[in-house]
Amino acid sequence: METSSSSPVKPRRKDKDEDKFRIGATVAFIVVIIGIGVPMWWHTTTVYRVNLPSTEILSLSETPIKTAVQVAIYTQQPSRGQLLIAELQSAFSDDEIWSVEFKQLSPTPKAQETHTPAALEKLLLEQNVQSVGDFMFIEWPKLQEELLLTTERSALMRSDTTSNKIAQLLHAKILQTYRINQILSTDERMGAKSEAPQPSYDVIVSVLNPKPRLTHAKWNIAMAVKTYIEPWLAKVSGVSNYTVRSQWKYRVAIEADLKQVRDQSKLGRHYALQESSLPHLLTSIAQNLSASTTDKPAINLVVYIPPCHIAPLHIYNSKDQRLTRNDVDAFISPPWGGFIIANPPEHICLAAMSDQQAVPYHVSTTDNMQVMLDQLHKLLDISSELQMDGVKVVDIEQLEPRRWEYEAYLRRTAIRHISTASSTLQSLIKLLDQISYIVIDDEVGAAITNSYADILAAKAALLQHRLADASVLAKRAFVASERGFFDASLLAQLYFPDEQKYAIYIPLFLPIMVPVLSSFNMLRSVLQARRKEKQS
Amino acid sequence: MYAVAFVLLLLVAFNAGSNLGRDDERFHEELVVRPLPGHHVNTYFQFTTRWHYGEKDNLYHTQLTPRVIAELLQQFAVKELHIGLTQGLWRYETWGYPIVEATSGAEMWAWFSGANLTNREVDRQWKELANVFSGVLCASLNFVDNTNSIAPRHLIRPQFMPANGQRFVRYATLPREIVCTENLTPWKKLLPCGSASGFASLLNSGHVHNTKYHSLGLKVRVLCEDHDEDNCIVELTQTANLVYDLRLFELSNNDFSLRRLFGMGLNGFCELAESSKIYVQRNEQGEHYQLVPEPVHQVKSTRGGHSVVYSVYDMHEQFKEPGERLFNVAWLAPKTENRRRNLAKPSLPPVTVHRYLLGHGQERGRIVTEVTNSHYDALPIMLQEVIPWYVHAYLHTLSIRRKPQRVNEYGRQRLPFKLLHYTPGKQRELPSHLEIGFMLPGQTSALITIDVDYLLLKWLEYPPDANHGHYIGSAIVSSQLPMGRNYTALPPEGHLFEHSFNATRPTYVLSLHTEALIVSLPTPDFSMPYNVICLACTVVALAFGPIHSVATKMIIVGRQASAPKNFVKIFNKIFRRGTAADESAAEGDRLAAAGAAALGVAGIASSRASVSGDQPLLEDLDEEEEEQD
Repeated sequence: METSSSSPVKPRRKDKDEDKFRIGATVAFIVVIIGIGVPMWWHTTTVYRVNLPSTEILSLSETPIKTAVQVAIYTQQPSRGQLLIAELQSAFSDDEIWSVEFKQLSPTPKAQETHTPAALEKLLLEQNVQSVGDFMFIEWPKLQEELLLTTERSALMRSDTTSNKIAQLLHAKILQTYRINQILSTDERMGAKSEAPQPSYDVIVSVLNPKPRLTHAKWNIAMAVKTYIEPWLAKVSGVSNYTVRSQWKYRVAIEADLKQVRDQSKLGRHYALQESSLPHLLTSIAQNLSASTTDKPAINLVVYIPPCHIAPLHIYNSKDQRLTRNDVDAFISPPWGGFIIANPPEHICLAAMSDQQAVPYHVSTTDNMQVMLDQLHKLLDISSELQMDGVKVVDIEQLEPRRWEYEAYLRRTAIRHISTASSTLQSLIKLLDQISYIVIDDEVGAAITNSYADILAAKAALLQHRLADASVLAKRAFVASERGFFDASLLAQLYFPDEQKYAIYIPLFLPIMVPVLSSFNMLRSVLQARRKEKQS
Repeated sequence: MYAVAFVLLLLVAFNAGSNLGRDDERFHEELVVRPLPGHHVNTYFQFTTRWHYGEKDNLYHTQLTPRVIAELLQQFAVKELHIGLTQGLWRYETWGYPIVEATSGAEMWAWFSGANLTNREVDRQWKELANVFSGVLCASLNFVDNTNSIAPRHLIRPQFMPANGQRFVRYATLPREIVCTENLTPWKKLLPCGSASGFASLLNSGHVHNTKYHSLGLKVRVLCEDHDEDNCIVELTQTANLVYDLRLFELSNNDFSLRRLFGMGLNGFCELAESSKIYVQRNEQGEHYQLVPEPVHQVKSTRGGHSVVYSVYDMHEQFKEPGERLFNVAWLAPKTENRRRNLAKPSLPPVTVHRYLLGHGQERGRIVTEVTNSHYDALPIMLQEVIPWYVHAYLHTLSIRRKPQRVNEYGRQRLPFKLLHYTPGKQRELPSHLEIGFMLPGQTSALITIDVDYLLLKWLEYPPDANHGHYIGSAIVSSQLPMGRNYTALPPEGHLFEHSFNATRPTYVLSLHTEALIVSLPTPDFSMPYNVICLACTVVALAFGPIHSVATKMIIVGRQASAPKNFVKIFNKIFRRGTAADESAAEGDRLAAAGAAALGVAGIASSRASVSGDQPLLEDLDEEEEEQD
């Protein structure tokens, strides 16, 4: 090696001794700053998050929601029953949503003695205990239709009904497979349009009388609501609770263009409300329907009494066709509610036109309440509208919905609650991965974990043929997931993002870290030197 | 304090009248116009809905009463609620006493009563109630919470029935609140006719907010029969109190009319109203004016030895004939009238009150409230003061000094307390709450002073625009007047303005609001925390560098004949730019060089560098050591 003109630098004995201390000091600096300082800084500035079962939640959608249903079939000849069951079993064998268990009911002597289908049905329902969501097909040879759906959990079938037809009925009416598919579909175009039912609703019946001086409409709306709406809602409040309120609103005008149309009535004209202007009409009314003190979602049922100078009012479509059916002009807009135009009777308006003196009259309770009930059926999405060839449905005799219909609704909402809750939790977890400053405090963490546990329990209950339990669990999971997702505490750190965290500490850490990090290099070379020293 | 006689009212039979609405629900609209001294006009709107709902279950079905009010009674144990939203200051000296009292900003108080109510439950309900009405009236009432609410002990008396059970009261003011159109619109929506017809159609925001003083009020109270919770009346009173300054209309004379005040005439009455009447005061300032159209009815009200004459326009009569038109009333001042007569000093009301702040600097101050009794006899005075938590009050400095009304200076004469209630404040939790009562002799002023300290707030506690200052809400002064001069408030058992006619009582409960105060708390420079962080960090870093090097590095003095190695390298690099192929190698070389420098093993042969500059330096070092060994 060439010796240079500068003196060769060679640490002396004394310096070598002192090296120990230097290395010690370097190590101490490194330990204090990197070993203690950085973790402490990291710890004090991290966003508080409870441990969540993230991977488990993300894998929720991997196990599909499968529902167990028991279908009993009663035939007069056991052989036909066996055949039907074998065919149906093969039809449902590879179904992703349903695990249908078919059960054959063998004819008992008592059953063969019955002479009416109703008696047979009653007997069979008594003998074979059904749990919620179950169904039964009863053969009755002298039936007009192929299948007749009763108001209970049963249907009568003719002797020549094919298994194909039964499967079709099960899919369309009882299990409502197409709607479940809509709910479970991840494709947004196919996806369910309506939202999951909330745990409680305010049903607000508003009667609008825009010209109280000219229209002396009288109506005991409180009584009407108590006799029609409340009892019916009480029957269907298994999923949501409903509080019914009613109010009169005056001087709330509808903002829409009305067109006069000549006709043959005594008044000689009526007014046309264009279908296209209905959304605007709702907007103009909704802001006048009064505030509420609760945060429950509301279902609005509006009865609008047009004043005589724009009455009678009928809805027309864009092709100028009148849309009045059975003298009813009404429409719904889920989930906002429904709207009924209650035109005053002809003679009232005739009187009003002639002598300018308003005549008091009573609004028809039965007409309007029937429309309103029908609207509620549609808004709450309980009834099944689907028509099938050769299938007849027994008309409802009392206020209660048909049992199989209601249970299909329970099943549907349970599945909807489960799927909504899982997707809510999944999107929350994804958000947490993306946005680092979302806080998850103990309460929200508990809500999420509970919701997750309830989803699992509800799925298990569906599979184990316990619909009532599943419905309760699914609702609880849904409520907890919504609370977790919308809790205000998530955004507690919204205005203290990561950039600021670094901005505040960088002035301290940058100048300190540079010498400390560079001292690593020194340590390394010293250690290498030592090693070589030993080797040689 | 009130001689309550509600029972009479409860049992008043609801005689059938209105053909609209239910028979158990009544709506009234009233407008009072009072010319005030100094070219001012006071217009007072009162809309009263009274619903004899009976059982609580009936609250689910509302007709004239807004649904919010019915829900309120179902959801909370509220029996009485007052909300005031006011802009401007009512001048007691010149205008007399208003029909409805209000303080500038937002004010709210409520009575709660019910079985098994606890203080904690009432606090929760109070907060929720404030939040509900924050939404209903679009006001910032959601800022009402325990830190600015008190439970008044003596001054606020219940007006609901039955008030003999367990009851709780909460009171809060938000003096900073600015009242504007967004409050007026939802307020009007609570009326059965909205703003479509009736007196409410006069309340157009452009004209309402041009006034010198405007105050929106909402009062709900429940009157139930004793021991029978199923026979109840809910009463909703909505008031709008406006004071116009006629000089702002830039008129040659003092004439004015409804159209001029409100921008339009009256389009009729609300169809749902049982009565719809305009009262025009004709005596005092009102006697100078001639009314067009000539009023049909005249009412003379003598109350507490003081007479007031009102002309009455009944809208139901005015709009009896069909057809659309606008109704207007004009006040014509006679041309010959000397304009100075109008400026004659009005008679001073018996009790007036003022408040101000003494002291300088941002540390200490003194809150002074001055109450003047110009009546010849002694009057009982009660004062309620809410001092926010960021101002510390010292009770031992509380004193009441007195002086005869004509003397300017306060002497050493003191007035004794008859009553003192003090709840000390707690930082960030509770405001200080002070109520005192004393007898104020006739023709005397009293000066109530209390010393305060201002607190230094945390930096997040400052509101936006921190240099605006912090408010101390107005104090309430209450008294009982033996006579009815200047007194126009409704008797507590009445619900319409006409119930104040001839309502002579032994005493009249008066309550006045003082001015609100602004204190400027010490306000920091808000970029300071970051500056401090940066500065402190820099200092630490500057100190750390040398300490670190002293502790970990050895200084070896070397001698170099030629330029330092790094310079040579850079020099080489610049001139060997064309051979860029070596660039990456040189990069690594430089890093290694830095490491070597840190070791302090400097002074490596520089001539070598020029020869074999591309070799890593550490290797050089090692070789060196090997050779030496």
